[in-house]
Amino acid sequence: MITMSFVTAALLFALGLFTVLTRRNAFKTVIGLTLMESAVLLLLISWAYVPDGWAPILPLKGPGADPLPHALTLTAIVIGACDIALAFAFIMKLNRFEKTVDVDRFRRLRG
Amino acid sequence: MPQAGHDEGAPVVSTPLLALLYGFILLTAAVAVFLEDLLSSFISLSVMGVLMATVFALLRAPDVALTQAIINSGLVTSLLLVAYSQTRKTPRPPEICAECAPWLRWRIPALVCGLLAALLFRGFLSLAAGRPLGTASSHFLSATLRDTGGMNVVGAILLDYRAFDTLGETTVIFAAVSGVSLLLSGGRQVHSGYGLSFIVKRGMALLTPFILLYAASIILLGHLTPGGGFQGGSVFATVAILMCVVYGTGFEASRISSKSKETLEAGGALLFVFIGLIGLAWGGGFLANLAGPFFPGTPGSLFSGGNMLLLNLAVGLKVGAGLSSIFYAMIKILELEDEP
Repeated sequence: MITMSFVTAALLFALGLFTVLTRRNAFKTVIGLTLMESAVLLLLISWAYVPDGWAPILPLKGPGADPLPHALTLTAIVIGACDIALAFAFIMKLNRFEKTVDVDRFRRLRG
Repeated sequence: MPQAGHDEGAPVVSTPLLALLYGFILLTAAVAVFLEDLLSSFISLSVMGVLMATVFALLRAPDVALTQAIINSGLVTSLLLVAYSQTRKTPRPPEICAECAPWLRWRIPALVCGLLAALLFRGFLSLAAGRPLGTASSHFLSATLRDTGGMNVVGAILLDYRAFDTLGETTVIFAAVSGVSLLLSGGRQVHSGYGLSFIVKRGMALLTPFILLYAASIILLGHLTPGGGFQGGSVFATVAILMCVVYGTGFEASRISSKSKETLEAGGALLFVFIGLIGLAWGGGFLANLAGPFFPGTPGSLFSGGNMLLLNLAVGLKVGAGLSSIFYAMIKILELEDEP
């Protein structure tokens, strides 16, 4: 059952990377980054899952799921949201100067 | 939270349900990537976030599920829509590169990504076999009540055992807010329109107290039930966004100025550091909880878990004010200074 989670995580990560590599719209690049982030979150949570375990809320009635990856994932979600907000700010700023959201056309960024 | 009547073991996660959810997650992700229309792909991405939250809840991670549902599929989608509406006048670029060689357009990337997926899966399989919990994890599960007085183990890790890391996390939020404000400075607040219809406005007025109550309960019960400062603060930011959508952009901004939001955000950070310094002054170390002057209280009651209630409040202030000021920085209209 957990193998299924790993397959989904691997496919999601590959799909996100494919998006970042091939799409020209900057918004699609952000979508690709979001997909890769979701894949990592899914991997961590599936790793923390314990068969027949309970959610890590006390009092426990049996074995509990691993709380440490949960804490890490929670942090990752919040910081990921901040990253994405910053990426949007960059897109809006670039759009203001270059009048495009095409990542191939941001000419002033070429070294 | 399941409480009584399941002494024989945790309810088993239904495998067909999980398979269905994973299928829909992959489907919505593919739709988000391959659809030409950006608006539809954003909505599809948001649906994927909700499905992911359901999967997290099924995999026994209620805290993470709550955070995912509120932040990733709620707040991030609204930021996406704002950024999209700010750039909607620019022409859409073609989906894939027309000038490059055909094999470079999608075949090589697809091959690389396929290989990567296979390799990743091969690596993940080594994680799969039933592993024993690490020493730290089993310590957290068994000793949280004794060490902190809280009932939510994940919240206790975030706010007691590793509270210093949480302070660093709030610093990241502060950096993001500063970055967005700096990048989008110089715009002007647009007083566009009068919001939605009368019925929606009245409905929102009826709903607002309940949403605020929900946010407050998530923050104040963060040490007992899933939730905490991050999730509750995000719900507060969502209320600000809803106000902006329903009553027009000027409504909330005229009542809570960006200055007072900055004050609230800085106040949250200062409160966090101040609580940490109390522990230091007591001799228990920075951010010390029960080793400092705080009491464990009766387990399960509101005033338990030492300083975690106050720390949740500080984080909630910081996150709520920070995320809503990111939103209000983004809806300002940017004007080109060097327009010919």
